[in-house]
Amino acid sequence: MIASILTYIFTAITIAPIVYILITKNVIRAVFSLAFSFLGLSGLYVLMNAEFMAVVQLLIYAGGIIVLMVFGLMLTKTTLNKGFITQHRSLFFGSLVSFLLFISLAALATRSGFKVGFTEHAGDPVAQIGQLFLTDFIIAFEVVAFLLLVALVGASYLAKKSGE
Amino acid sequence: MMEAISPTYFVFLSLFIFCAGIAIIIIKRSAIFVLIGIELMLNAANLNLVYFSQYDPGMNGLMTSVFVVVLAAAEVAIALAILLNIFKHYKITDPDELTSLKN
Amino acid sequence: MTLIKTIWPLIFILPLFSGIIGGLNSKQSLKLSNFGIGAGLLFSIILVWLLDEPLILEWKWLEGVSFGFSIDRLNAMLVLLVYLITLLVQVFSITYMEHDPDQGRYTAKLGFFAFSMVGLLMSNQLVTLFLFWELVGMSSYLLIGFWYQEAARSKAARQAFMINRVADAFLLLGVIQVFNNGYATSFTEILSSGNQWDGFTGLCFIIGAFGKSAQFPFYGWLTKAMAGPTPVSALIHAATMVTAGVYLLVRISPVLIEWNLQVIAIGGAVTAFMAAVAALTQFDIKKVLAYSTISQLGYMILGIGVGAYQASVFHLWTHAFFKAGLFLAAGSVIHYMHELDSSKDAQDMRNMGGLQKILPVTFYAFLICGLALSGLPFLSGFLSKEGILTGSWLWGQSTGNYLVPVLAFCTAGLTAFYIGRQILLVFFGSSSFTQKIIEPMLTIRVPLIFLAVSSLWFWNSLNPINPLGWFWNSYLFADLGATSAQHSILGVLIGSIGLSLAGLGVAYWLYRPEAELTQNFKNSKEPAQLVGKISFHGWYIEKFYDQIVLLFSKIVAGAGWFDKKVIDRFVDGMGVTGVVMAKVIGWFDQNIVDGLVNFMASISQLIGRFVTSFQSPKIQIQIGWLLLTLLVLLLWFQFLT
Repeated sequence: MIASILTYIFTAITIAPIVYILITKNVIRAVFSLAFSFLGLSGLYVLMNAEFMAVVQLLIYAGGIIVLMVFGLMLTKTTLNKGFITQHRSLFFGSLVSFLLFISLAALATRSGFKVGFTEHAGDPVAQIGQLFLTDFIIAFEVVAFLLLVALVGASYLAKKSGE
Repeated sequence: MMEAISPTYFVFLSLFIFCAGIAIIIIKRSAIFVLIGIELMLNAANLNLVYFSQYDPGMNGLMTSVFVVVLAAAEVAIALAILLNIFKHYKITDPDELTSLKN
Repeated sequence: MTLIKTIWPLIFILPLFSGIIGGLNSKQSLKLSNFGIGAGLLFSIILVWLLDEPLILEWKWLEGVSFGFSIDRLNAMLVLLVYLITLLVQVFSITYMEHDPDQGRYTAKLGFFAFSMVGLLMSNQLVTLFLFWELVGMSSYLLIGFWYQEAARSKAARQAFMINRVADAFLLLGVIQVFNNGYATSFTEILSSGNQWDGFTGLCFIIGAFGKSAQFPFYGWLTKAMAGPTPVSALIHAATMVTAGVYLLVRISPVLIEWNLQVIAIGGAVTAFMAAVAALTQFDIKKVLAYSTISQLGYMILGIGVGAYQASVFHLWTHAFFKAGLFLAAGSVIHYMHELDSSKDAQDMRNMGGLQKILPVTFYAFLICGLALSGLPFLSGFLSKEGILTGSWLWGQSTGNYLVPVLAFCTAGLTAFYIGRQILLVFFGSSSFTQKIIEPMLTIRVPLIFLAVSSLWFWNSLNPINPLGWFWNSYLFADLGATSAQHSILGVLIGSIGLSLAGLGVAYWLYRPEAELTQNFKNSKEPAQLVGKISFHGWYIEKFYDQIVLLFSKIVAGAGWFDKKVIDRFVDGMGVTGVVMAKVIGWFDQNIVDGLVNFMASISQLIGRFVTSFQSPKIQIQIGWLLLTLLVLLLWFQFLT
């Protein structure tokens, strides 16, 4: 019961900032409400027995990506004194496309009628994740680590080169 | 823990986040907004993966979502670096005004 | 043997490697790639030695279509031939191309050619065969146009390529026919199933083979192909690629029906005769050899048509050696002429004469190979040609159609005549060159000597006048069963030797050093009388091609005329009617419908604006359309199917 109530609360925390992002024209406010939305998501993850994922969500998204975006914003502030305000365009078209997509995918989801059998995870999920990383997913793990390294080095190179 | 709430609820939630991401990508006139939209879409996929992976003893969904997060981080870093370069050259952040990548 | 069974596909990867390695290092490329080709040669010798049953490699591509290679005794032998000639040509090219800055590209192209040729020979599935057939045509085009900086040469390459393309289209049609009619699609199954093809399918394959083997009416491309470097002509346009058509016909001849075989026999005989006539009056040293190649290919094709395909394969084998020898010797002459005086045309026989003393090794090689071509006993060419002549004579006797044997015998005489003329004009007579240059390096001499010695009889058969004594006969055709002539005919033997001697004699009498024709030759112009003109222009085959192109452009022009005169008039008339109608309706429109129309117009404007946004250059809108399309597809698959 409590879990259900908590789920609804966290859903609200997730959805409300997203609605705000849809409405607002201020980029910096959008980025911060995105952080709130991610907080709500990580709460949902905790309720789904995925504590590791919740922590990752907080650390990488709310901590890392949001900060990165804010930095990006500050550095690309236009000199025309427009601040962080942007405009909307093709409002009707965009809303129509996403709304239609939502309706039709929702129809599909309803038609398919998900049924899940509940299975409790045995043992510590975090330990299990660690084992999986070093056994079944070892190649993906190494490749993604390399990719991240390359991406970060490349990003700093790209950003630096323009400064010269 | 989640017996009370049906899976359709979470599918709808993730659908909503996904479609909101699409709307943001299409409507807003700033590249940062486009990035936000992409992040939202990725998170919608993650939510689905994590939700269904709690019924999977192999936890494949959870593992995949961790990789998704890592790739998203890499993508944002690269995208912002490119954005920075473009801004330095053209003083624009609107993706539609950008018509060429060469000087 | 088990090792060979596993690694035999290596045999056609090797030349590709050697080409790539050669292409990377442009200084030493020809020398380097010799190792690759040499390894391939060794490998193919081992393969020929150890092979007892066909090896097959196959994998599926689509449902019912598979790629497949196989190697049996016939193609093992031909692969060996390709490697041998390629190696000799590469060795020869080391000197021939020494001043060329693009040796890397040359080697890469040669390697690519050897790869595609070996692939063609080893293809078992018809689809694979077609693939490599096109690759061979492509590499031939690349090599003809090697000196692409000269406009004439690259144009010749394009023309040769396009003529080939016409025939290739028929081959493709034939392959499609095979699939449509449900025949066996691999050579091994074609042989074992024993089903006859219908005539149309066979004809398509025959036209395809005629194109690649330069038979009438496609032979025009081979003279164009002489624009390439001479070693390339020796390799591709004399010894290997042009025999692809012969090879294909040998493979499919068991399933061809009677009139298909007649088409092959008559086509081959007519080509052999026409090309021999055309070779009589040429001035270009390479053109004579080109026409002679066409004529000899005609012999091989004819041999298949009359059922003497063993003799055809035999002739293919011997011809590869002596014709490559002739071309390389001609290359040596051209090289020398070019070194000596680059202002004159190095290929024109009018500038030559008396080269015997200056290029002795080249002279003897040319002499031996030329006499082998003319068909004198004790040389390899006699043996194989004798087999074909015997086969055609027997065929004539059994069918009562003497056109084919008569043309074949005429060609034998003409062949001896034109090669005798060429030898006399190039190597005998007074020399206009005073300086005595020692013949070039070992790399030129060794291939020439090798090819000349290979043209002697004892490599093929101990008995110098028995065409059935070929050593390879039992090796190649043991499992096919002997079908061609079982014995040689004395009359044919005497006739053939007699015609060769007569041809050489006439050539000597007309073109001996002190004869009138020889004296005037240096200043002679194109022949004026009808027969000479026909011969010099190769039966005007290029005019014929031009006429075809003209015909097509006329058809297009005619369509244009029809469009202008008939359709436009009609449209104009409709327009006038429309104006009259419009005036009537206009009144009605202005007074009554206008309000409605304005309303409709605003709606259509709205739709127009909406539709315009489809074409937006804006990236975000495009993403929107992308998603919308995805949506439509999603709904389609979910709800409508």
